[in-house]
Amino acid sequence: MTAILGISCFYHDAAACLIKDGIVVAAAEEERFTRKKHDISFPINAISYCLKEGEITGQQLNYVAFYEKPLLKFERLLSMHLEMFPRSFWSFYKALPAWINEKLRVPGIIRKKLHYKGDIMFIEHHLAHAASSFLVSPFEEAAILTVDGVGEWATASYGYGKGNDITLLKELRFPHSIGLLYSTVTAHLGFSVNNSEYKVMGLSPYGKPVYYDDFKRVVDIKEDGSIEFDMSYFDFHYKLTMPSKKFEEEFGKIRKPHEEVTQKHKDIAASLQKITEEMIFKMLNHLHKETKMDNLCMAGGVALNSVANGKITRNTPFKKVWIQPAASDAGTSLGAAAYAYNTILGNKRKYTMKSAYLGPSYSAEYLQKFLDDDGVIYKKFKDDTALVKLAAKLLFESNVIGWYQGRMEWGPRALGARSILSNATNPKMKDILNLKVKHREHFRPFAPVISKEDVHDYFEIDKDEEPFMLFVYPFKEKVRHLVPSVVHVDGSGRLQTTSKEENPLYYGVIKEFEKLSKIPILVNTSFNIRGEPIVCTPEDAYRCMMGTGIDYLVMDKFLIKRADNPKDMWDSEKIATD
Amino acid sequence: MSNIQIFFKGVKRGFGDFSHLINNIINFFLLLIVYIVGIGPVSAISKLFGKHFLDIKRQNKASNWHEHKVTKQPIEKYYRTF
Repeated sequence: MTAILGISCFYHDAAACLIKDGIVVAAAEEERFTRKKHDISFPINAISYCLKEGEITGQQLNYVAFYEKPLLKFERLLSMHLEMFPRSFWSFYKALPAWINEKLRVPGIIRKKLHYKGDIMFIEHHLAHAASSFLVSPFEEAAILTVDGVGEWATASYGYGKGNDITLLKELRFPHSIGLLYSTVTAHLGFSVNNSEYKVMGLSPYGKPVYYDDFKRVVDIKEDGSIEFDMSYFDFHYKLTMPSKKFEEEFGKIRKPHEEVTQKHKDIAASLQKITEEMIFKMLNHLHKETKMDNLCMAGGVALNSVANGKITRNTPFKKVWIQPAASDAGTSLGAAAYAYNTILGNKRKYTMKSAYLGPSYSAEYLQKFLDDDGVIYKKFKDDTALVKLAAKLLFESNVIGWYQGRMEWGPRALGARSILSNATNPKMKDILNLKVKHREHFRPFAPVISKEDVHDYFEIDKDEEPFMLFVYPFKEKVRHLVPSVVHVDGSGRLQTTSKEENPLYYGVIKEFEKLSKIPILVNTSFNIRGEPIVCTPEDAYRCMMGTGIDYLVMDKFLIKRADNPKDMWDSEKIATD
Repeated sequence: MSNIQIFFKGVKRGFGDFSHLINNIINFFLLLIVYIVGIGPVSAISKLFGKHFLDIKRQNKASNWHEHKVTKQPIEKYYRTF
């Protein structure tokens, strides 16, 4: 047996992944266990879970693979300060303690925390990204593009994968970075960096790209898709803030989080999205010219830009696109482990990621004990059919249901294991969800989940499935009025498809809902309190329901009605953050 | 919780905050020295000789892609942190 543990941490989205004999047996983000969103700390809880799931101890691991080369990253940090002296002191003062205490001591920390004496492999950050996508993709060969904020030096890289091997050819280097441009605008629009970039993406359809030409002065896009910034618009290379004074002069004052989102902010978001898509498509066209391959694998935080992803096949020669559900830094734990197993050790690939359900699950006995010990009033169902029928009826009556089933999802999207479901046909459902549970900004859309066989009836889509909710596609014109709560302002939806084989219970409730409403689509949003990570344990799920306005919780075979348990009610908005 | 317990909990938290403050002050001065004595002269001398550590000036090249061919290496190379 060969067991390899992949780890990513100390930057953002700490995570762990265990590969045993080439099969991904477990993967999870640390935030789900510590309940701190985007937790960066050493993922000891995620590791413990992975080892438990793999029935193995730290000492029994053959290798540990880390998602970057820390000294190369430190070199970049020193280069920043050498270049920007004396203006960078504050950033130096803030960053260095973490390097001394943790980031330069990674091997020691891993050995100490895991009681591990074996070899540790350090995989370059963008190589780990590339591996996280290609090595678990359905493709035998594919072109690869990785785009994020920054790794060691690289901010984007491209190459190709064939069989077990990956070759990266070229890279863009810090500070010229699509991810950092997106984060700079996110900060300028008053949202939190490395957290709320998706809000800017959601805001963009409300605006017009009137600032596109202004962005062209900020970033020079070459014909081959490489980019070059005018750094006078940025401060991130020597300060803790991102947009510079010049950026503010050009695009207006930085919006404060409590201030209203104006049309100008929407136009800036639209312009950013337009130029981001232009950069991505130019990169991809260049990549296709170099590799002549039809299949594409993408990874990195920018690969979570589902609006751009949905347009790739229309704007580039690539025919098939595959993105792994945890495309951001969390996924590099998987990439590092897969690269070690398949490429470095030369083992043939035998795993294709068809499901994102790689996290912890809890038995019916555990759930019942938790509910009984806590004195929760619930109803237990003997068979799934009756449970699914009742859940569909409750959804049809516009109740909001917390849907907690099986193993937790890997990656930032709720895909039917830790989801909140509701009625997509009710035009008021977006407001109901916002009022009762999510308290989101009005401009953010809710996502649809649809049964796989019905997807072509509702979406202008060029493939048969989208199980990981990473692509936005337009709804067909004629059906938009049928599902008003999941159609975004531009007529699109970030859909998830599901099938009986992938998730029978989830699929079952959609099909039962269809019998009542004639529509095989539900609203699917993440099961969490605003500002918290998606729920992990049954305790988290119950607490979330009782702190919000979720009407029912379906956990395994148990149905819990919030109104039946007034003793546990509380107001989550008192602790909610961004 | 008794008043004594609350009192000692408060004292403990106060000492914690105080030690954190001292830690920050020491860190600040130590890192200021490192920054001025370590980073400063290297930065100044390098700039004198025209050396730049970051590409922050626009160069208007036709392409900004950097050659960085990464392929499978001998396993020992992956044990390095650089």
